Amino acid sequence: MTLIQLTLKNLTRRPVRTALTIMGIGVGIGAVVALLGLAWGLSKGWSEAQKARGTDLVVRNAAGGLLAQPFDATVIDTVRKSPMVDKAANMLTEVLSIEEAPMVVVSGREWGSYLWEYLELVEGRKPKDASEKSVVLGTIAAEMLNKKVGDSVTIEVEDFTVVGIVDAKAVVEDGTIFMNLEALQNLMQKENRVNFVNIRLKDRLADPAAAISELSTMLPQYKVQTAGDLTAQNDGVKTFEAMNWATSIVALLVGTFGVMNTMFMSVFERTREIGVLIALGWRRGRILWMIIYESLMLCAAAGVLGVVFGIGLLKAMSQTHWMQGKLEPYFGPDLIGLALVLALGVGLLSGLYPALRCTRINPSIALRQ
Amino acid sequence: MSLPPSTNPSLQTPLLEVEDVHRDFDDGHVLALRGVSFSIADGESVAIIGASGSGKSTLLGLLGTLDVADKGVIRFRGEDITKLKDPAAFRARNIGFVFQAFHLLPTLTSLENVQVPMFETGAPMRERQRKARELLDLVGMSHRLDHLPAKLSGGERQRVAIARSLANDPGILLADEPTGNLDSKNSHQILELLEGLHKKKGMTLVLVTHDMEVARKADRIITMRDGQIVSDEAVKHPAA
Repeated sequence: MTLIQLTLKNLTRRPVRTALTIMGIGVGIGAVVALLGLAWGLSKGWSEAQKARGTDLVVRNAAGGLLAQPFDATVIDTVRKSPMVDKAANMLTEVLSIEEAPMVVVSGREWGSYLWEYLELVEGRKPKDASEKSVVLGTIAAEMLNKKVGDSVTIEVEDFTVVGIVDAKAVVEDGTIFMNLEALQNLMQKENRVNFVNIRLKDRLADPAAAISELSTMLPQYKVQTAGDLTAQNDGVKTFEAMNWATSIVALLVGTFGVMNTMFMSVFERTREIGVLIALGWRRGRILWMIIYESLMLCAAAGVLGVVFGIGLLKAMSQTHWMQGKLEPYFGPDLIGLALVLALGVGLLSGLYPALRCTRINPSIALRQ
Repeated sequence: MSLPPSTNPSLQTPLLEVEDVHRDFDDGHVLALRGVSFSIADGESVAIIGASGSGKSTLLGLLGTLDVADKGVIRFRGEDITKLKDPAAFRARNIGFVFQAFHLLPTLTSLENVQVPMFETGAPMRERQRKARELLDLVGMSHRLDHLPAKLSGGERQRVAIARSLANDPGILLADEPTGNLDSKNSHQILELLEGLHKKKGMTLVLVTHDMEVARKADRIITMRDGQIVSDEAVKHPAA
């Protein structure tokens, strides 16, 4: 018998309480996994969308928001003057409620620009010219709106014909409705306004810092960022992530107090047993570790349960109308690792105080209980 | 009040020396021990008797370093054990405890319970298991190795507890009412077991009891009243 085996027996002797404690902290860890999985998924999804477009840099209004504030479409002319820029394309992106679907991303793209190139046709075709009143749907958007080629889709007050369905290589893009830039500008009454200039650099493998520096000098009132930074530094994404962290911390605190309560109860009920161990010559340090091991074991089990629960929750949420095509939940090894580390941290934190209290037990008094 | 140590000529080496020990509780309102002095020789068996509240269990706690005297000195093999830096390590090496309520850990089998004190010796797991089997065999419990305490009778639990008290080859066995929770048949068997350990293995034994019949099994009886020793007498056993 080892100390670990002895500790394990202490937990299995009260299976109901152990299971309930594991579930309590497991739900907390699950909430962390789900909330951070959403935040990181949002960030990752938008980054992937940029990557799929083949965009290296983005010019946006310096003002924040999930979708940057529109600015003058002629900014692109300045961008094109840079010798480092290979291609540049204007884009206006809106999030709109379309027919029965809430919050669909509608992306107006300069006709003939590279932003149309990567969209791989699954069915139908792309718009014939800049004036055609048509849309192309990403595969998830088509499914969400229940549309096929030839159907009509009402956006705001106007009807557009679905001419094609495309595989856009990223979840966010697959959930998007694509149309000509001008058509969206007219629809939204934002003539000659865009909210992003997408840039593809000539030397795509080089450090983009030089290009950012040059373009920032050329466009001092605008923000020039890499596609990755656009998402990472986006105020909306940052707020979403901060809110999810805050909720996660509350969930973890509740879990920590739950485990601490269980450990206190467990120590209190075993005062006499702990007195016996002290009487038998156990060093207080060994007793301290026994209690901390117990707490760590509870939380490690809760961590595993929480990861499974969190991933299940994320998968279920990703099937809802609110998330479909806009956000692919993330549950990579770093998130799972973080959840397990947090679980063990909770275990250590919540076991420490009861363990320290335990080592102060007077054996001669404890044995009389 | 102090009495001279035992004059039994065969037991001259003092294992334990108690000198003018005082212990009070509740800020001096309860005087549990009032100047207790005696000594116990190596290999001796001593019964401490007295009514409830006479101070016998308090004295046993002090001898076992579970408690600290307010005044006085207790020496074990010449070393003052009232000022130990690490009393737990001392207990682990030198003291074997047997309690009235057995105090076995309920989640552990007999074999595991006996191994508990051995954690402090650093003995490998295999060695701990071997020794625990050997001790359980010694107390006649080799047929109940994998039983939890709840599945054992009172007498069997006390046998396991005695095996546990011997785990680290202690210099002295301190037994607090070891038959207090047992029926007469089991009491008799446990006393025989303790007597056997004392006589065959030369184990020094201190037995706290309020039962005169139990006390008469010892070499010597110390009687306590109101925190003081009122008599310390050798027991005359009939020749075997």
